[in-house]
Amino acid sequence: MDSGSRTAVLQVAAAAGVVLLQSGADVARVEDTVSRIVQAYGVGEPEIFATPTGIFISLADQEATVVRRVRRRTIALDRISAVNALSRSLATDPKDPAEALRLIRAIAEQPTPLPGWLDVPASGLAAAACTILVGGSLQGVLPALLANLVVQAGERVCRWVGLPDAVADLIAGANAVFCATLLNRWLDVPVGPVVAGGIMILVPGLAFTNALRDAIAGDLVSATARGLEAFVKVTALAAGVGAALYLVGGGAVW
Amino acid sequence: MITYPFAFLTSAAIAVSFRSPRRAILWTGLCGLVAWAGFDLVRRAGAPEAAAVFAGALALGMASEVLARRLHQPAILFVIPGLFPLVPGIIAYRGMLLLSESRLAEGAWQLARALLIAGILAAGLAIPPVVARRWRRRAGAGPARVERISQR
Repeated sequence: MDSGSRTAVLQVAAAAGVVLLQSGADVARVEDTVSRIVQAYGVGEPEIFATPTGIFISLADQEATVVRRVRRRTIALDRISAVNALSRSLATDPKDPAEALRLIRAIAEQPTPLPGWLDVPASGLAAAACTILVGGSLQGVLPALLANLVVQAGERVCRWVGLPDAVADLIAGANAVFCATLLNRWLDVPVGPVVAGGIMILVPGLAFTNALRDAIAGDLVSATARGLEAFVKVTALAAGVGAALYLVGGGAVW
Repeated sequence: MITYPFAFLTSAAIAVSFRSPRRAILWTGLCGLVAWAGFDLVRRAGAPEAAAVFAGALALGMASEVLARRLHQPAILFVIPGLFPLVPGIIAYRGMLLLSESRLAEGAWQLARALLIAGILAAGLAIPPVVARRWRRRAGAGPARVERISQR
């Protein structure tokens, strides 16, 4: 294969890797998928180094390398699923690289599987359901749903305005306390579980767990990065909650 | 027992929010239910929290592997939302809050506990994929490598 098509294959692989990283896939999966795509085209053994913030792919003996930065990360499971299916189909039938690249771009822009407006209600519902798991009462579910809808919507607004993630988290944490306190005054619902459920969805327990999963898989750079991300997030949330508790004058940790 | 439907609801709703493919959503809720049931049953049997979390993670990992194979989807689709009922978010959060109130010893203890639980979750989740791969290799009598991966 000439160097032009080698580069084209690397572009395809890199595009797939970037979509996966932006969608919240773990680096082990990213490296595995990218390696499979490169091997499907038979251009040689790739060396791949993926981290949550970027990916390097190199054909070591052929002086071909691509580097891609990844800045924004969310979780989009439909994209992970689609890239996975695409890489499987490339393994049996390596399409023209330009066509493959077009398919990957389409995956990056595909609409949400369910209507986009369901995002906030779904997060609010998850948070409300979580209040039961952390020891809340059944009577508290509906108020918690209400409070968490407000919190989640507020969080989306913060991101939409373009505030940094840490600031959005700080505001969301404060918002959770304000909503829970209001509910407490009006409906006599205990504050603790309402805040706790809302926080459960926002809090980076998942990021902590993923960091440790990367560490177990031996991806130490990624583990460190995710761990730090989780730490920043939990600090911002706690700062927001702490400040709001100070303002409303409640001392309840729960 | 009353908590079980809410574990289902939490994971299924999170799956919607995380843009899971439509036909995976109810199955994802089931994964959350399995994870929570693993945790809850072991906890009720009087085991320490760590053992219960480990059992929950193992159950979730196994359920995710089975579903991944059945539905031809990556296991991560089921693992991430399924984790939510078990994730130590509250504990980490409480720890930071205690630290912000200058209750250092208690805060540090809660943070250490959160880290411990996250570690146990990660360890529990690390086992089922390995078992599944071994089992499949034996059962499949050695299909080509590409094909084996493609079933993941």
